[in-house]
Amino acid sequence: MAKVTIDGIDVEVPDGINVVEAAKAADVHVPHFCYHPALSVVGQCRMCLVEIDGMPKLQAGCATSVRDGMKISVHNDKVDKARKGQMEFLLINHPLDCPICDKAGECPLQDYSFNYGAVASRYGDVKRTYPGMDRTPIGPHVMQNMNRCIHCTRCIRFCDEITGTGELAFIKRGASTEVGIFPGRPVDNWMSACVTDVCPTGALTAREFRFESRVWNLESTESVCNGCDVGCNIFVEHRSGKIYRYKPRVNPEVNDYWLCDYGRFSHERYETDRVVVPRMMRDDYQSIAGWSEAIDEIASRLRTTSGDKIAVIASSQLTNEDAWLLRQLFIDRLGSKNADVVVDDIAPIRMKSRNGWLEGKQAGPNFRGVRAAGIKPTGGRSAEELMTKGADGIDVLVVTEAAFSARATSAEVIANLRKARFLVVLAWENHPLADAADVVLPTTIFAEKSGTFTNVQGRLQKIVAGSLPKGEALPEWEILRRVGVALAPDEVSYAFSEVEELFDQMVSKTPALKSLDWSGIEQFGVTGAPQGS
Amino acid sequence: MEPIRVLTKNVGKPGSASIDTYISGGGYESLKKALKSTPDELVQLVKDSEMRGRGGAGFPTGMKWSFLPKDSPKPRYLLCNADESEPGTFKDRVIIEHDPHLLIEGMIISAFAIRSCPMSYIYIRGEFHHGAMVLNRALDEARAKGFLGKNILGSGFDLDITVHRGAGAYICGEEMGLIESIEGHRGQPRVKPPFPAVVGVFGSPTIVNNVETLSCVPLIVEHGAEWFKSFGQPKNTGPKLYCVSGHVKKPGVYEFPMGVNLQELIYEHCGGITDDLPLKAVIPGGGSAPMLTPAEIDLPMNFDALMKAGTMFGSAGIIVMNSSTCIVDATWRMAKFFAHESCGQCTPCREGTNWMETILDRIERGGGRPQDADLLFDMTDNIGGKSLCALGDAACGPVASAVKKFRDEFIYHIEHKGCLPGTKRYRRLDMPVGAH
Ligand SMILES: Cc1cc2nc3c(=O)[nH]c(=O)nc-3n(C[C@H](O)[C@H](O)[C@H](O)COP(=O)(O)O)c2cc1C
Ligand code: SF4
Ligand code: SF4
Ligand code: SF4
Ligand code: FES
Repeated sequence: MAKVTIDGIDVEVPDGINVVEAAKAADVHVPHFCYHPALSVVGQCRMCLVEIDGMPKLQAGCATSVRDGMKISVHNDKVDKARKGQMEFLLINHPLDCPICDKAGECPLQDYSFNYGAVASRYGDVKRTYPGMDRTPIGPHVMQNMNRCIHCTRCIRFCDEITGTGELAFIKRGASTEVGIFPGRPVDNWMSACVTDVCPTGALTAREFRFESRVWNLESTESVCNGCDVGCNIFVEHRSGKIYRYKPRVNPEVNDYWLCDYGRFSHERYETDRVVVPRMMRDDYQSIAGWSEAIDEIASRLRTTSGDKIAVIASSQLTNEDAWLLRQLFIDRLGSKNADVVVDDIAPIRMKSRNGWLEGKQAGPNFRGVRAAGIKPTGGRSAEELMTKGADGIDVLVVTEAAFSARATSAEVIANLRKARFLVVLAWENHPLADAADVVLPTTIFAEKSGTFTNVQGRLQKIVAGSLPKGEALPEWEILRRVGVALAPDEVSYAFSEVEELFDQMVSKTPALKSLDWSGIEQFGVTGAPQGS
Repeated sequence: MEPIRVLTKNVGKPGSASIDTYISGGGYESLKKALKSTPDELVQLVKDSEMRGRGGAGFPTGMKWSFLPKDSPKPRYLLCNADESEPGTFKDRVIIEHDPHLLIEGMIISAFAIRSCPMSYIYIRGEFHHGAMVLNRALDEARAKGFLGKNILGSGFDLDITVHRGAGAYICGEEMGLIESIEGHRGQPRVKPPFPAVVGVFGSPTIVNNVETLSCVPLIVEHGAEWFKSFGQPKNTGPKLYCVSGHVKKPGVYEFPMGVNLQELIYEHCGGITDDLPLKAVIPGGGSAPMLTPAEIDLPMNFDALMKAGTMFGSAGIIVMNSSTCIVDATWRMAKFFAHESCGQCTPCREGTNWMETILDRIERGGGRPQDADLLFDMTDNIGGKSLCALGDAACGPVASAVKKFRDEFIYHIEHKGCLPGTKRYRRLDMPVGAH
């Protein structure tokens, strides 16, 4: 450890870290553009200049490692003058088009210009422009406006050092230096849109998000990507029940600063015709039903059959809480022998954590958690059998998500599942399987409910309800709870109203999770959660 | 002070570039002598000579060599900096073209002294096509004679040298830019630390030395450190090549001991100022060095004296301007060079050098504004000492000194929208902006 003084504040920090990081310990922010904790240090923007006692010249904070006894000034007249100088240099040729720039509101260049920019410009000459490079698609997801670029090379280093694909490079030199791609080689890698996150200006923006919303008009909710079993940490950014984008939420243990393009844009699947009210089949035609009517019908069907004739197909999108209640109700109480969970395989998605690469191979976030909750056939029929051989002889089949698998749209699978005497399908989108059901119940999507997922590492991570549920949609656990109440009105374990209470029940009965409480789930998740396979 | 012929002793001999001429003048004897001593003794010898690098920064060569980490398992590299692109500098070229074996012998001894791996590089600017051919021919000769290759002269030391031609960038003469370029990357300096002695070319400890520096090494081995120190002043030792250009009657490369008087050099040895006009300004150490006025040139040309005078010895490229020079135009010319040569990666240099050039060009064209002189001067403060490599500082040298020392002329130019009477610009303003 090194004892250093930063703007008069004494702090102790690990040896060898740079001044930008060390200053955080003193709660001092060192302005910086090119430095990024997950990328190599290049010392190019010169915004992080600091004064160090005993050194005649100002030093780049990003490229200076602390030593014991160092006295560092992040703010004094000399440093501030230098920093204002760099800010002036960065702005003289910048178009200053914040009013039409998608980065505005989350742009480090804009933010620092409030602190270090001048109101009146001393620049009285013609600005440098990059003709023809002001709205250039340089990849399927990335739009470039070179006029806004401050040449920090973060995007170049991302492609060199993280994905290793090297699509971007500096071209030309001096004031004409531009960031560009090689002819015919677009920025088209599986994490390409991350360059728009690392870019500290509006030079690179995500094509999908351009002109969609001002960032300050979005609400941001902590969640976990449900694209695959890596479980990258995200902010769901939404307004009025519409999801506009996912942004990476830093978790060094999982996704660090990154998201894959597939996951990042997977919210587009929710821009669809949602199921908003319960429906029941009456005279070969589904019509709107009330919740209690639908729940009562399901309960009466369940009451009049036996466990070996009750089947469940669970989705890997269920939270651990959903799955726990599902098991408790269908396996423990009703004795179903035919409960199973299904997940599709996907071509592996690689994701870089601070400690190395993770690989997602499942199309849902929580197959392991659902399995570990005990959702598996016990001497009965598996979901595979139901899908391929038919659900003959099953009295009640409950599917917790119509889109539990890509195969659920196949006519053959639908016909096979339809062989159950009574088919209950939970769905958030209109789906052919739901259309075939006796009862369709509208569910929330993951961004509209709270709970936990267990990822590929056995890490329990929290998702938080942010976006407003559509119509009368309810989270799966609430639907299950209502069925439970209908079956056993006096059972105390169904007498809860918040998912936290369900979580407590689950934890108290799951030795591996003992002593965990909802608010105690750390920012980066909790490892060691049970994983099923 | 009288001119000497030490470094240039072979220059002018018929076939001076051939190995036979070189050997007949006692060449490669130093190598034989050096291979009989130990690397540590050689490093000490160079330290004792107090030689300072001839590339520009004047860093003591022996000390630089001793910065190599003792315990690194990685191979060590010696790189010769033959990029010679500093404006007004053309001394290395003389050695390369006229006495290449002096450089090669110096490199072999130096490589042995720093325990180099068996491959060394000469990074030569692309425009020195002839020089590269001369060097390659000389290297072949040296290989044929067994001075290069495996087990040199039975010493067990292996070394070969590769000539690597640059592609035309001043910044590739900066040691970190040179290293990146040799690795095959875009020529842009890496941030220091780590310094090249610790992490240089191919991730290995590396020494970068100038052509003239390395060429002094055989002389030191031959004659000893005391002999070397007999030239010049304490801490500023050795024979030295001076490049004189501009408004002097006899421009060229001159050899003197370190510390020749600048005034004497210009007026006595170079025949004085062209057209017998009064002197106006002198850039003493290559384009990066701040300008001196006539009143300031009575000083010894060495590192310390010029530093004290607020300028720098640099590459000893002396550019002389007589009274016909429009100082705004001359300053623009330097600013244009640095703006064009900026690699563009760091903020102050990329944006600042271009801005300075723009303003100077505008003043020269009659569009000066009252605040321009102050703006230029303030800008040099925002660039100088703030840039990633020394090119940013270099770009400020001429601008800051000109604005400070010739402020009245700048103001005149701005107010009268034209050159001071009696001065003229040496370029045509109708030249396309990109041309140079
Ligand atoms: C912009 C810039 C250009 C340079 N160009 C050269 C050059 O052309 N030749 C050279 O020997 N040194 C040049 N240098 C100095 C080198 O970085 C380095 O200090 C030198 O090669 C070290 O050699 P020395 O110790 O023998 O002087 C340059 C430095 C800068 C900052
Ligand atoms: S495009 Fe953005 S990330 Fe890339 S160099 Fe420019 S400012 Fe930096
Ligand atoms: S790797 Fe998986 S969890 Fe991460 S963003 Fe992609 S799909 Fe989502
Ligand atoms: S000072 Fe100039 S040449 Fe040096 S790194 Fe910065 S931009 Fe490149
Ligand atoms: S953050 Fe240090 S130079 Fe850019």
